[in-house]
Amino acid sequence: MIQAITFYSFALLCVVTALVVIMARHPITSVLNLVLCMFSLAGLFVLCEAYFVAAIQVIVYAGAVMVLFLFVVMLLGLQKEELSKLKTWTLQGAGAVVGVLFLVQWYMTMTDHSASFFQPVASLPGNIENIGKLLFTKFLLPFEVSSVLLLAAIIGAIVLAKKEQK
Amino acid sequence: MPITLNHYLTLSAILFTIGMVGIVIRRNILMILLSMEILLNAANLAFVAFSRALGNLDGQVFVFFTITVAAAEVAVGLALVVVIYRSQRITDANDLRSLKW
Repeated sequence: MIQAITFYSFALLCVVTALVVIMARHPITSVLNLVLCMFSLAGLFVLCEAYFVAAIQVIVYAGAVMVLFLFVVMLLGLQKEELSKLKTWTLQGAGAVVGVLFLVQWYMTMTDHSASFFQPVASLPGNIENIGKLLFTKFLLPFEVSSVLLLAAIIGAIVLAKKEQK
Repeated sequence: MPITLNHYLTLSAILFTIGMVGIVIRRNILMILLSMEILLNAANLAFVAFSRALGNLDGQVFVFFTITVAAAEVAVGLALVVVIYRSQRITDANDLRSLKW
């Protein structure tokens, strides 16, 4: 019962803030609502017993990535988007087609009863110890490669964005 | 009604839809990147839900890597946006028509 209440409230918050993200005219509104969306997703992760991933989502995704977005939005000094620029008929039609396609997919997910795992099975909780054990044995290579990826991203971002030396 | 895997997958599909519609209807480059973040988060939710349903922690480790890759991609993407804005004052995705300026 409590689980249902928690799930539905977090899910509703997630969907509402995501809708505001794509429909808001001012970019700052979109960014801040996306931060709220990520917090509600972190709540859903905790509901799935994925504690480490929830903490990483809040710290890295909502705390670093979205703050970076906020910096760039404020650096560029974006103003409110013109309403007429946002809605042309072709864009609206394409958006509607995409929406219908994925709602069809949702319907098929809800009516598909062939999967045998409906209830979540009892499993290890996703705390740091259990994930660490996997990360350093089975997923060691992706772990090391991701550190190289982050190095490449750092170097790329700095090289791209630094000012030209006169 | 207990919360089953289907509930999480439905929410993931709805979020993915919202992200896709956001990419299609938005013109500002930054807002397109923002809608891509919704897409990635929807996929992360699906991973975590399946990880719980299958009793396997591999899904959550994959979410860890997805968040890492998303952070790297956002850093480079935003650096590109800053460079484009600095040289051309363009924020509309439709105005980016040539590779060289």
